Amino acid sequence: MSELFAKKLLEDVVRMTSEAKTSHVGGCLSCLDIISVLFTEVINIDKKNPNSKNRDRFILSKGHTAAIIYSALANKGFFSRKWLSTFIQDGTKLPGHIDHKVPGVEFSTGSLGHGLSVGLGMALSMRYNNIKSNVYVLVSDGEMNTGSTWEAIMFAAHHKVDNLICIVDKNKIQSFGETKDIINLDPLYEKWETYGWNTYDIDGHNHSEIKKAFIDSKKYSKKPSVIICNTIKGKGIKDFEGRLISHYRPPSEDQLNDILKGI
Amino acid sequence: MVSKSFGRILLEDVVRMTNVSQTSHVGGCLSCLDIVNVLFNNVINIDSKKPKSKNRDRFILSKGHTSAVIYSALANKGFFPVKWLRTFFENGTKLPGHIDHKVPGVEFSTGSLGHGLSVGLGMAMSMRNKKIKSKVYVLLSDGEMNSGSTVEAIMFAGHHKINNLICIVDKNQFQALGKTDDIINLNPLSKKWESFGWNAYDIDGHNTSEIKTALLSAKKNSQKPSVLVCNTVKGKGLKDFEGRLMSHYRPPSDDQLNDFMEGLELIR
Amino acid sequence: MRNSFVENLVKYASKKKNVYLLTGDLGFSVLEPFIKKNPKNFFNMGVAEQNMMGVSSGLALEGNKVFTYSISNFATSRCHEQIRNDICYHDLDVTVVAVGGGLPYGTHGYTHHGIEDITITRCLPNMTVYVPADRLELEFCFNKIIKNTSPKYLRLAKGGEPDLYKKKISASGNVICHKKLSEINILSCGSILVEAIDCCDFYKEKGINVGLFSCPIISEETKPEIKKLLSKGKTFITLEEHKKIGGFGSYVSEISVSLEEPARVISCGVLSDGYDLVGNQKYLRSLHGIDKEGLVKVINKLLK
Ligand SMILES: [Mg+2]
Ligand SMILES: [Mg+2]
Repeated sequence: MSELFAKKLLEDVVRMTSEAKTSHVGGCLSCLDIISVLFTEVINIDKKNPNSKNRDRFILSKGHTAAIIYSALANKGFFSRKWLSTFIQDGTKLPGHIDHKVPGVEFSTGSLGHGLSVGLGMALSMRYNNIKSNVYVLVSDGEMNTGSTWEAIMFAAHHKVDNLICIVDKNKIQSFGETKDIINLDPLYEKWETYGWNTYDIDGHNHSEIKKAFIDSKKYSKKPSVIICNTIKGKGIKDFEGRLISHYRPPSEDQLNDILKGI
Repeated sequence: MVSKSFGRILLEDVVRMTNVSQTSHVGGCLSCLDIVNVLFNNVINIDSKKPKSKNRDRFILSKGHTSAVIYSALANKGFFPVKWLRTFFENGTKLPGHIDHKVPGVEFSTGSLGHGLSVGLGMAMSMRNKKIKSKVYVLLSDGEMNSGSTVEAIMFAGHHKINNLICIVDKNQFQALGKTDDIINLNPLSKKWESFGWNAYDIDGHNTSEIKTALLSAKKNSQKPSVLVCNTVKGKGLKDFEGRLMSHYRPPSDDQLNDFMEGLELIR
Repeated sequence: MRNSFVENLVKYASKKKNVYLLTGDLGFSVLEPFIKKNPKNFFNMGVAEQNMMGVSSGLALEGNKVFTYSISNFATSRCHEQIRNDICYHDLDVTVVAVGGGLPYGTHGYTHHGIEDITITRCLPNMTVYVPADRLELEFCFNKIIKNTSPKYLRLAKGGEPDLYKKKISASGNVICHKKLSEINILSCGSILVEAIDCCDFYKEKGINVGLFSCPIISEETKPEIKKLLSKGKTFITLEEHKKIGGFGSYVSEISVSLEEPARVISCGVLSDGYDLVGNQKYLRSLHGIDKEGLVKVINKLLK
C-alpha cells in the first residue's frame, strides 16, 4: 500500500515543483518514503473528521517541503487534487511553506526549529486529557543546528512525553552545504540517546524498516521516540540525488517526463 | 595582622553587599565564589592598569544576576574603588544588579540567561584568527543549560574546535523556580558536552585545588574547547541558605551577616 | 540587490582584515565571492540565529566589523533579544543583513513575509535601519554603513530589482529627492520606490507634479531632513512594503506630530487585514494598494 502511495507522491511532487518552477524538491523526495508509510500505514487521520479529538497529529517542521504533504493530504481526500496545480500561484490556497489554513494541515511552519516544540505542547495536552493518539513531527537534519529544537528535546525527555514521535529526515544536506561540514552532528543517534530519547537509526527509504520503527515507537512508553532516517536528498531524480542543487533547482520538463514514464 | 585571603574578601563583600542593598541572588554568588576566587587570583591574566590589553584573558559572566561577586573581584583587583561596592543597587549607582559593561573590567553585560557563551565564542574565534594566545572564560549557571542558544554555541564551538574557549558551569542544582533535577534534568551533563566535542571536567566546585588543576589543564588542551562542570552548593557559606532555593531570593539578614562575620573571625 | 551587497562587501573587505561575514545557512550562490576571498573571515553558523548574533557581538568586541546574513524574519524576530542586549546595548559594529524584506518571498507563505522587521529594529537603541531601493541606493547606504560603527539593520529585497538611478547617487544627506516638493508628495522607503516613480510619471504626463523623495535611511540622523520637508505645509503619502504599524509611515508620523503644525500624512503599506495573502510580489503589492494603481487611487481622491 505504501509503495503505491509513494508513486503518487513522487509524480505529484515532481510535477508541482516543475510546473511552478520552484525549489525544495530535494527535501520532498528525501522524506517521500517516510511520508508514504506514515500516511498509509501509521497515522490515524480522517478527512471526514479532520478535527477529531482522537486523531494522530502530524507536524511538518521542515515547512519548505510543503508540496509532499499537500500531495499526501489531497490523495487522502482532504481537499481536491485539482488544488495541487495551483501550488504557489497568485491567490493560491497552497503556499510554498506549509500552511494551517489548508485542510488537514495542523500547523504552519517555514522558519526552521519551531515544529518540535509545538508538537510537544500538543502531546502534553493529549496526555493530560487521556487522548491515546500520537504526535508525529518531521524535522530536517539542518534543524538539529537550532537551539530551540534542543530545548524541546530536553523538555520532552525530562517529562517522558512518550506520545511524541520525532522523525529526522537525515538527508545530510542543508541549504548551504553538507551538514557534516557546517555543524557535524554525528553520531546523531548517540546525542538523542544521551538526551534521554528512545532512538532508532534506520534506512529512510526502506518501507519495512520505516514501518517497523513506527510500530515499535508507538508501543514504547516512558520516553519520547526519535526515528533517525538516513535518506538521500533528491532521491528518485538521478541528477539531483545527494546534491545540493536539488534544494534549489526545479525539475526540468525532461526530468518530469522521465518520472512520469517510470510510472 | 594577617591579611585576608582573596576568597575571604569576596565572601565578606558579597554577603555585605546583598545585605546592605537588601537584594537577591546571594545564593548564586556564593556557589561560584570559589571558582571566581581561583580564576581571578590564580588563573586569569588581567591587569587593572591595562584593562583593554590585547593579550588579556577575557572573562564573561553569563549568569549576570550574580554580578556582586564579580564586582567585588574587580574592585579588589584594582579596577575601581572598593567603596563603589557600597553603592550596589542604589539609585544612580555605577553597579547595577545585573552585570554591566560600563563597569571597569567588565567585558560584557548580561542578565538574560543564555547569551554569554555565544559572545565568548565570538571573541575566541576572533582571537584565534588574530593569533592572540589568551583564553576566553565564560561562567554559566546550570539553569542556562535549558537555553537552546547555549546549545547552539556548544555545537558550533565543538564543530570548529575553538580550543581557546573555556566554559565553567556553576552546577549548584537550582534555578529560579526549583531544582534543576526537577525542572529539566541535565544529567549526564559532562557526557552531553562530550557528545558535542568538548573536553569536559567534572569537579568539586568548592575545592580550590581541583578547580585550579582543571583550569590549568583546560588551558593546555589544544584540540577542543573545554568545560568545567563544577558541582557546587547554592548559598555555600551561609548556613540557613545552603542548598536552599530561598538563597536565590532572600537577602542575608542583619543577624545572618553578624553571625557570618563572627564565624569568619573564628576561622580567620 | 543581494549580489550587489556582496560585491560591495568584497570590495570593502579587500582593503580591511577585520571584516567578518556570518550566515544562518543561507545565501547559496550569493555569498561565494566573499567566501572565496576571505575564507577565514566567513562562518556558516548553521540554522542558529541566536548564536549567530551572540558570536557577532563577541567578534565586534574584538574590534571587527561584522555582517550577518539571513532571511528577514530569521535575522530579526527569532534572535531579537540577542540583537537588543548584545549588539545594541553594547553599541557594537554589527550589520544585520536581511534578504526578503517586504514581499519578494510572497509565494512562500506568511513565515517568509518580511513585513514587521522595520518596526522591531528601528525601536532599538543605537540602531540605524537601511532600506535601499535598488543597487545604487544600496551602494549609497553601504558607503554610510562602512563609516557607521554602531548597530545597523540592512534590509534588502531579493534580486533582480530594476535600476532606478542613472548614475551614482550624490545626495548630501540621507533623503534623496526625485521630484521636487509639490502640493502632494510621496515619501518612499525601499524597493517599492519603483511604484512611486511610475505613479509620478503618470501624473507628469497629465501635467500634475507630484513630489517624490526616497528615504532609505531610518534613523535619528535623518529626522531633521524629514522634519524640514514636513514643515512646508503640504500633503505627504508614505510608501513602504511593510506593515503600516510601526514602520516607515509611523516613523514619519512620529516626526510630524512633533511639529507645531503637523503635516498631513497618509500611510500606504501592507494592510493588517490580509497580511497573510499569498502570491508573487507584484500581485501582493496590488492587493495591498501599494503599487502604482493603488497610489493613483489615493492621489485621485486628494485631487478631487
Ligand atoms: Mg537536510
Ligand atoms: Mg543554578
